Amino acid sequence: MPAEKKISAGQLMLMLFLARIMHTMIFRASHSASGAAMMLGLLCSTAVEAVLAIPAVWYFSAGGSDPIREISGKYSTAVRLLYSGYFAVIAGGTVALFAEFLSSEFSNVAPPAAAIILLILAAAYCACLGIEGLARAATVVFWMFVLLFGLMAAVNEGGFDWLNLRPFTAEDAGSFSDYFFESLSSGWWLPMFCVLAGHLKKGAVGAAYGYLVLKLLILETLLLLVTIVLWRYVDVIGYPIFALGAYAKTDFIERFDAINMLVWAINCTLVVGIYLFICSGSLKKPKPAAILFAIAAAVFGIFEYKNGLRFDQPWFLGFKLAGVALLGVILPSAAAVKLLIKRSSER
Amino acid sequence: MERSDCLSQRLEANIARIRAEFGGSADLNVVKTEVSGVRCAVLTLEGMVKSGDLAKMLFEPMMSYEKKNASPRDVFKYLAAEGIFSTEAKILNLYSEVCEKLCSGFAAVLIHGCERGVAISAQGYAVRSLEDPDSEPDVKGTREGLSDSLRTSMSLIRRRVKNPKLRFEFLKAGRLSNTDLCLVYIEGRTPKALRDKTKKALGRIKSDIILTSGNIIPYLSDNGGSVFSGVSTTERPDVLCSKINEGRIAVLIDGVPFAAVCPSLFIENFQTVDDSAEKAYFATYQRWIRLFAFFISTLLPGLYVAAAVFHPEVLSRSLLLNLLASEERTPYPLMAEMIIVIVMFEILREAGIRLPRAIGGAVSIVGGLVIGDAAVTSGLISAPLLIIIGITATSAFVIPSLNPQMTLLRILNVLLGGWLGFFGIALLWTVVLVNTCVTDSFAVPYTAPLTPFTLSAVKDALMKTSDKNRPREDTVESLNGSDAPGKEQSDAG
Repeated sequence: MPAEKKISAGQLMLMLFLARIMHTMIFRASHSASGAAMMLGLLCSTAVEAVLAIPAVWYFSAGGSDPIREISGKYSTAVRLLYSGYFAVIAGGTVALFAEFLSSEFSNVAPPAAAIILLILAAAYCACLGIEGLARAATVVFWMFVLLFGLMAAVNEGGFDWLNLRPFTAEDAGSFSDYFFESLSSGWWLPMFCVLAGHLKKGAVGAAYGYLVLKLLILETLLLLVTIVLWRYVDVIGYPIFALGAYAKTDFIERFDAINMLVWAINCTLVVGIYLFICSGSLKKPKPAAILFAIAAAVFGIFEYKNGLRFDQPWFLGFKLAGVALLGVILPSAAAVKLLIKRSSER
Repeated sequence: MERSDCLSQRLEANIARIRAEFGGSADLNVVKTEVSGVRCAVLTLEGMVKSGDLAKMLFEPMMSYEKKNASPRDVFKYLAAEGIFSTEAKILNLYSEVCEKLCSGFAAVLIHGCERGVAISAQGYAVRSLEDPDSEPDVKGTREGLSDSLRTSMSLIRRRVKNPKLRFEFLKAGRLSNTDLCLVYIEGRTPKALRDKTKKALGRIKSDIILTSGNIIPYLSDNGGSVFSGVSTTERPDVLCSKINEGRIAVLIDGVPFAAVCPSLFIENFQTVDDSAEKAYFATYQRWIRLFAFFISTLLPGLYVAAAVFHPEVLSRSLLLNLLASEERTPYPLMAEMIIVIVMFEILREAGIRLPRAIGGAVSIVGGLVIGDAAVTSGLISAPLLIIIGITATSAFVIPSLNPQMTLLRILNVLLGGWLGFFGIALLWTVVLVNTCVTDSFAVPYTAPLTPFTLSAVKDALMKTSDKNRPREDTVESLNGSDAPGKEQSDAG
């Protein structure tokens, strides 16, 4: 890979963050957890992720570039197909949830199936343009978020009520464990990192742990805001971050709902584009591969939407966790051990 | 060297061959004369040489040469080495060389009994005088635009960079037109790799005729499917000098008053020469206004249609009521109405450009006042929509260099906004964003220094700093991250 075709650690960090916040955005509050339980759950899951990331981070910082090839050699196509399949399902799940969000909040915009197909088409085009374009665009989309949240915060008419932040009690243990596992299962940044870190110029440690710090700071802040500003109102609106915009108002913009959706849709397209780019690495010709997996993701997304399958259902939680464990922890650990042995024998 | 292409010793044979090469073209002049008893012929192309200069530089010395028993070789020696007062004299050995020099405005002297000739530079074709750079007007910049004549353009640049490190390199392009191209750069500023790549790219030109900068730009930019281009054009010698000072390379084309400059950045479309003449705070303000105008021109009509049709809750109550009242009276759906007005505006703009200047103003009166007023009064178009188009059109005039892209994106925004609301606009933006981010020219990303982020360059891109406090100019290397390790792109994205 020529030097100019590589991405920076900051760009990778932002791509991982956008993928994570996309999941948080389209997460529909299906059960009432206390704010403190959710915040604690996020903190603990982040700590666990920091530990789980050690093998992959070590592998890349030690000079490794392709953990899949490292462990599977000539069978690497089969292992890459595992990654592709996993991210095709994740892409399908993401578009299905986004279509659900669109149909519940903006039902007049487009039929869900059409929205899924159009979104996947746009994402597939972005994936075909390669990682550099996606990485650079991620920076712009991140700053769009910052601008949107900053603007909504500046014009927010809602007041803080700290009484909403109930202390963590034994009753919250169930909510805590639910949210902890949900949050941990959303840790597919680990398999993403294993594939994308090969495109890094340098700074694998900075990208991984920078992402974890950024995620922790921003998501904890959002959770705190959701709790102290909205609390039970979240149950009514459904989408916690979307609900935050309900109190924002200016003389020019009466409600921020549609503007939120605009930014979310941009992010969703970009993030699905990144997933499809990862999928495209499993075959020799990346563009046809991206299109093939885009079709698979669209079919899966429509199927999931039609059948009401959701990311937070037990089977899906299990699938996501298994993927994180196998593709984000076990395989890179094996690659790291192999690299370590190779280095020792060279000495 | 092919034998058949070599000049003959027989003057008549040479003249016949050259006449045949030009197919008996009426503008080929052949003047036969004798110099010290040796028969000679002076060949020129009508209108390409200055007769007065030719008489003084060539005919007077030729007629004054007297030598007893002069041989053809003596005459050739005299013409080639001693007797001619021209800044540029070339020895001719081949018919193809004779034809090429004649086409470039040289006079060719052929001597009977000698298989070589002499070409004398006496170009004197009519050239348009220096004019204001109409396509890039400025308040405090130079009033001289680049010229159709390559040599004049070169002198305009040399006058502004009086340094031997300023380099001009000639190349030829166009299989039929054999047009002169000239690479312009500053030694030590422009990376050698960029120069070599540019020369290689220009060497691949397959066009028969080079008539505009558009004929060479596709070869300088690899991004075939890009909305934006990593190569820009300029008509201003001061802008060109500023660019080559930043390590860029420019290509001048003979007969075209525009230079192609590469690599070019998105953010440079919002910078003007006037920025350097203004106070830093005001120049910064103007840059942001231009950036704002770009987004208004591109997005406002699409956002308006999407908000009015799909997301009325975004608009304030009073604005929404006004809008509904206006739209109730019009017969067409809002999206169709907007498309009709945009197309009308494009037709008026095109008519304004193509019409002679003397009556061009009439178009704006007919279009703006008559059609616009009549359309609103008759209820065909709503007044708010016309206001939106007015703001959009005015904003588009702020950045003429991006007009093609703004026009395309404006129409697509309206179509997708009218079809799918903000969701459609989001899809379009993402695709255009990634497409733009992947555009580059000679490894310099078009979106630099915003993304990938380069702190030193982004400061000057968005905020004009006083020349006194300004660090060194940003170079191609600092923008593509290939310079010293300490200057690599920031990890912040």
